[in-house]
Amino acid sequence: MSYKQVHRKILRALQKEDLRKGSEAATKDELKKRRYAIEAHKYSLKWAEDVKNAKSSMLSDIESSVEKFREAFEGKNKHFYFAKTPENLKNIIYSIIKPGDVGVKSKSMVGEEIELRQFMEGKGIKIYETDLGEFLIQLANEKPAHMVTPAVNMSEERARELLEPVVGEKLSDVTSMVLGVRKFMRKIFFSADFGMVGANALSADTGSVIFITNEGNGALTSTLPDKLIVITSVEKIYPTLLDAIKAVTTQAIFSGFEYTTYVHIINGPYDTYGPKEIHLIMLDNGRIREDDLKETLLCIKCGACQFACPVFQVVDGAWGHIYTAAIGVPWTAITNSKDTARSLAAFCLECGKCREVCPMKIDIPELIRKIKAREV
Amino acid sequence: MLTNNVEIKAEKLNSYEWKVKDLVIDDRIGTFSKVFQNHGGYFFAVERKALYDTMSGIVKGRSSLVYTNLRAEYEETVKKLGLDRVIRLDKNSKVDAKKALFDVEVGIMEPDALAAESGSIILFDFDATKSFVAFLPEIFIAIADESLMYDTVPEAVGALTKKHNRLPATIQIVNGPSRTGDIENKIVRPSHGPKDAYLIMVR
Ligand code: SF4
Repeated sequence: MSYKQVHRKILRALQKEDLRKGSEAATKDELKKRRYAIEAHKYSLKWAEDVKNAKSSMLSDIESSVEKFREAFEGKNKHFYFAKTPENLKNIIYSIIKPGDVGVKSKSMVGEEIELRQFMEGKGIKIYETDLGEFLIQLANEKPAHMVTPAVNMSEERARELLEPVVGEKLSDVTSMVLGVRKFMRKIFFSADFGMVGANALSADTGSVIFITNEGNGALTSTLPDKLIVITSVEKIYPTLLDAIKAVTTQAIFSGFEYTTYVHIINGPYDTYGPKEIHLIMLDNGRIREDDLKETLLCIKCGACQFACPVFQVVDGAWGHIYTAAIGVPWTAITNSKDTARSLAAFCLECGKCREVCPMKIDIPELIRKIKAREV
Repeated sequence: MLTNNVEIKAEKLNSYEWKVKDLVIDDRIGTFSKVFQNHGGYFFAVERKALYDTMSGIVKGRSSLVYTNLRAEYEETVKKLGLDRVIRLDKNSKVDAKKALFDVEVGIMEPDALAAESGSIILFDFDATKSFVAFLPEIFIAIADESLMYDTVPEAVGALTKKHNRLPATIQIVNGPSRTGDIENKIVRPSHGPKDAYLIMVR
C-alpha cells in the first residue's frame, strides 16, 4: 500500500460516523476491562516479566528453538512441517487436504497474515471460520480490525444483514444471532473433514500446542474432525509447558478477559475418539532473519496497544494492513511489505501510549521510528 | 524414527516449580465459588445425600444425558434421574460418539482437578471422552470433592502430571460456560459450547 492508499483508507473511515462512535466506545470499555483484570490478578505483572525472559531466550536462536520443539512434538500420527514462506505453507496444506474437503477453523492471526482462507477457497476447499467475529469478517469479505476481537467495529445492524441469509431465519437481536449461528455451525462441526486452529503458545519441552477461546469453537474444532491442522509461527515457542501456560494467562489478562472460558493444551492424538492425526505447520515468513525489528517478535498479541492507540480509537482497523495499529507497523514490515509499513508509519503520532500498556514492554514507537527512517 | 515419548516428557516435568509461591489461597472453596460464578458458572456445595436432589433440579425437563468418569455411586445417582436417553461414554463403550452426542442435552463427569484462583475445572483427557462431555451438551455438570482443589492451574497441572506420570492427549481447562461478546461487546451465552456450567462440590 502506498502512502496515498493508506491516507484514503483512513479518510474513508473518518467519514463513517457510526464506526467512529462504535470504536471510541468499544476501545474505552476494553481498556477499563484490562485495568480491572490486571488489578484483580496482580501476579500477572510478574508473570509478564517471566514470559518476556522465557521468550527472549528462545528468540536468541530461533532455529534451534524450532528444532527443539520439532523433536518434542513429532510422534505417532503427529507430523511437523516447516514453511519458510507463505507459498510453502499453502503447498503443505494442499498436500494434507484436497479439493472438496470441508473444514472448520478457529481464529489464527498467521492464517490472516498469509490470507490462507482465501487461498483454500480458491482451491475448492470449503472453510468455515467458527469464531463469531471471524465468521462475520468472512461473510463481509473484510479484514479483522483487531487481533483479539476481529469485528470490534461492526454494528448489530450490519451483523444481522450478513447473518440472516446464511442462517435462513429472522434474527431479531444479538442473542438470536448467536444462537442462529450455533445451530447453523453445529452440523458443520460434526461433519467437517478437518479442523484448523492457531496456537497462542507452544512448549519446547513437551511439544504441546496451547490455545485459548471463549466461545468453545476451538474446543469443537479440535475434538470433532478426524484431522487436526495447527497453523503457527516460530516466535510462539517457549522453553517449558509452565512458561507457555503463563504466556496464555498473561495474554488473556492483558487483553482484559481475566480468564478466557477455555484453555486447550494439545499433546497428541487421542487413543480412541477425536482426531486421528495432527499436522503442525510452522511458518517463518521473515521472522528468523529479522534483525532490526526483532523486538517485535516478543509480542504476545494481546491487543492492548491497539486499544490504547489514539489513531485506532478513531479509525480502528483502517490504520493497518493485516496487523493493525502501532505494533501492526513492524509486524507488516516483517511479514508483508516494507513499503506498506513505511506508508503506515507516517501516521504514527509517537504518543507512546502503546509502550505504556504493553505487557512485554516493547518499545513500539522506537520500532516505528526505525521504519520511518528507512530509505525508500 | 518417530517415537511417542509422552512418558519421558512427564518425568521431566516433575522437576519444575509448579507451585506459584506468591499465590497461596486461604479459602480455596470460597475463592473458587466466587470466581467461577463471576465467569457465569453455577456453584453448589452439597452433602452427599443431597446430590440427587441437586442434580434432578438442574436436569429437570431434559431428556438426554451423557456421562463419563464417574465412580459407581454417582453413576447410580445419574441413572436414577430417569432421563429417556442415558449414554455412558468411555474408551470401551463403542458408542458412535458423533451420532449419539449431536443433540445430547446434559453432560456429567468427575473432573481431574480444580484451581481456586482462576475458578478452573481441569480435565486430563486421554481418549476425548471428557472433552466430548464437557464441550458438546448444552449443560455441563462437574461433580467434585475438596481433595481435587489446588491453588492455581500450574499447581494442578504439575500434580496431575506427577500422578499419571504421563501426559494426556489433551489438558482441557474450563473456566465457565461458553460465551461470546463479538457483536457490539454484548455478552451472549452459549456460543458453541455449553450454555450452563455447574460445579457441584460434594462434602
Ligand atoms: S505489542 Fe505488546 S501490547 Fe501490543 S499486542 Fe503485542 S504484546 Fe500486546
